[in-house]
Amino acid sequence: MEKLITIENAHFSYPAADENAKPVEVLKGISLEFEHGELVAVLGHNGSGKSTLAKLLNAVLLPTEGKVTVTGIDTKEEDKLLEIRQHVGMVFQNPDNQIVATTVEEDVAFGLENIGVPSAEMRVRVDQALQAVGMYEYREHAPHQLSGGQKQRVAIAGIIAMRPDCIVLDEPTAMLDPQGRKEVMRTIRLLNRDYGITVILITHEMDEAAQCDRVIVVDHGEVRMDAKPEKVFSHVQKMRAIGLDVPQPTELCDLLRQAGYDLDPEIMTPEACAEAVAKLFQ
Amino acid sequence: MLKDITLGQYFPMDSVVHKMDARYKIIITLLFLVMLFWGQHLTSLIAGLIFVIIATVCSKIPPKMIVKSIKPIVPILIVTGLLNLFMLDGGKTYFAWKFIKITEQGVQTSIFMLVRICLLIAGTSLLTYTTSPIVLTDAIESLLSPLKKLKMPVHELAMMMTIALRFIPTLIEETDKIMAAQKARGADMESGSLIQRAHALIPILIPLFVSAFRRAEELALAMECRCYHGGEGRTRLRELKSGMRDYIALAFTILLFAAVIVLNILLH
Amino acid sequence: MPILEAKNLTYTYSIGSPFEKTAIDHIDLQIEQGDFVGIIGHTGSGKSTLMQMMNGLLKPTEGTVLLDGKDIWEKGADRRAVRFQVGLVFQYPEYQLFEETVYKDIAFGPKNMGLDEKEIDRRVRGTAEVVGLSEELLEKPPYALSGGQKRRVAIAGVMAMEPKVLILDEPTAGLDPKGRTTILTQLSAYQKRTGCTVMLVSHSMEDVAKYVSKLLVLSHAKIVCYDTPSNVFARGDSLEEMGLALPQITRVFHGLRARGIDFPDEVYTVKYGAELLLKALAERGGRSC
Repeated sequence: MEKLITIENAHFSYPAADENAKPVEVLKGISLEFEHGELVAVLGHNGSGKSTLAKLLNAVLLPTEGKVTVTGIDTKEEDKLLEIRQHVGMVFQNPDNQIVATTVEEDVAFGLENIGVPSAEMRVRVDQALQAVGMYEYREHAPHQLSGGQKQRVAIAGIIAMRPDCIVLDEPTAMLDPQGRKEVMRTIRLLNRDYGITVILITHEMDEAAQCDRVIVVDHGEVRMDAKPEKVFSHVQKMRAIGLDVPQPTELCDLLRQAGYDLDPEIMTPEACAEAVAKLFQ
Repeated sequence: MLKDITLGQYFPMDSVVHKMDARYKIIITLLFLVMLFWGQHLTSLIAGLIFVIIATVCSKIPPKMIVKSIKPIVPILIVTGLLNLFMLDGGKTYFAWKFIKITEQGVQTSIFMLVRICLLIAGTSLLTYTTSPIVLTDAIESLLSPLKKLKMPVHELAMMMTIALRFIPTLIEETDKIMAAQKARGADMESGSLIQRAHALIPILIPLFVSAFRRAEELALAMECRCYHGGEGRTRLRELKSGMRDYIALAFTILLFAAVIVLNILLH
Repeated sequence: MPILEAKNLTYTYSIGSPFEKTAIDHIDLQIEQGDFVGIIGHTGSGKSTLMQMMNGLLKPTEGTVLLDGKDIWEKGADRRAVRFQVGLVFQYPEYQLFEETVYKDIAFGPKNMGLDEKEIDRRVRGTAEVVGLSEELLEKPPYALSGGQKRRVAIAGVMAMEPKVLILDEPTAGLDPKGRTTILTQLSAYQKRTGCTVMLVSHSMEDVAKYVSKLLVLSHAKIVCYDTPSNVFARGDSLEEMGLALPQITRVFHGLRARGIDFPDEVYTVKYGAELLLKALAERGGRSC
């Protein structure tokens, strides 16, 4: 089966600030593939290039070198721009700055209006999308009456109403409180599981990455690790050196292992950790 | 607090007038305004009064709200009334003292003028009371759409209106926050001369503008990612639909207008 | 005598309207000089309102706030002076920067206090150092800085007023793990060096637990508890009922307790947890060998 997104040796540089300065290279040759139905986290600290990488996925930015294809379409093909963006939707960090309309349902309809969906079908798709993210009851609310987590779910509904293959979320929880974070994470896991939508979650929160099936660690514009979360977090020292956290249970097990105790390096949850440590006492 | 300002003055209610096609409401309001100012005869005022009363009853808007809408222009009413009262000369003289003279003509015109302005405000307020700003914008876009052929950016203007309406509450909230933050750093906004106070606004205005620009940039990107490419080929979730009630309302207004014209000619 | 004290403190928004809401409901609280207090509570629990009352930005509907034993709402009290003594750093403070250089922005507060040039200069440079901003950054415009640096400029702007009490509303919101650790370590160092009182609002139990000496838990406009982290985390279940997540490491030890391996102390840092376990395992090992 055709890959959903392929990135071949992508480089990206922002133009230099003035003539004397060199262009700033943010991505230094990234090659990745995303399959249909994946739930992937791209984990990196601020300035690692992860947001730039996200913007390559729906042709907001074009690689200065290398190639990005979405369902086989090269993102450089300008006349296919609308098609690419219908395949890959994007949700951003600040929930306030991506809601266009003055009511929830009008905002969810915004993308559909842009691609000329007839109004009867639009009604159906808007309602379905709002139900999928659990915001149907709020369809007539004004955006400023909603909490951060609710606004972000509205933004997600606006994307899934367009029936994309893939949603890229660029730090969608960075500005939310714990409650809002939970809501958003629950929503995207559900969309992935029940609707089969590919989710690419750009984040610096290790606990969010831990909830995904695959974690790609990006640092200084390069892919440093690409594996399932348990594997990635088992490299405690390496993650620390990059400036990222690991789950506390993993860290605890690592400290005990360093003292010579035999523990599985891939423990992530408090439950599994307590279980394994308790065994040491038997 | 700034947050307490209600904007748009829209009162959502379940009434015939609320349900009407906003385009028709705009056309009818325009007809009403023309009628009010058509001819100098009492008939146009009586017709206007009938129109406002019927519209108010049908809209279920409490009459108190209509009165409230007139309140802010009371000073204008007083000035206009007095000007007309003293300036116009003609007919019987009721009162004269030195250069001040009140005549029949003056009294008549000033009463006419006052009633007319009150009706004008009442009629237009009814439009905004019964129509949400977003629907109003849609209707204006639809009514002006013939101008697109003349290369007028009708869709863009309507989109700008929508975004402005969307962001006003957000920016009001933001202004509150910035003001509190600068006050916490000892900014003094309540005392000093006018110039000092204007100067004290800088720590509020600059962050507010910077933030507005940042929001604009992010919003533009988000819109682009959601396939926004101008008005071309765009459909709408809520299509403006006209029905029987709109035709009846329009026919009624036209008839009322016609009656005013006929009466004016006959009574002249 | 506590440095900051709330007495019967109450705040109600939009009194008399249908939106009336009590954000803080008859709270009594005493903050001692030199404490490092973490404030936790979910959104809407009244944290922000409480903070803004503590430095006189909001006038309580009922009750009052005492600073050094003096009622800040007493007739004739200088509330502007109170704000200099109780410094408040809002959420996302970088959005309030407005001067053309970092130096001038940090100097805004001290200048409003009416200090002389020399003293302002000392304070600006001193606090810039505390938050790890190098000399050459001081002459740069704020927009040329990274997000984390801007945040630190804004915090320095309040620190430079040398307040007796420094209150911060989620100073680490939106930052990555490294940025969070930087700010929290600097805060902790600042607090130790100046001996001033710091109050820190945070959503992250794991972050707060490492640095604070006391935890204040707010829920539905009331204080649930105000105690040492260890005692607060001991009431794990009731915290989770309030929608506040315990640090994961604390949950590991609750899991161990359920399996019959108990430690008298509550564990809320990984380092301490590992120490406890290693000691216990070594003792066990010694016995079994």
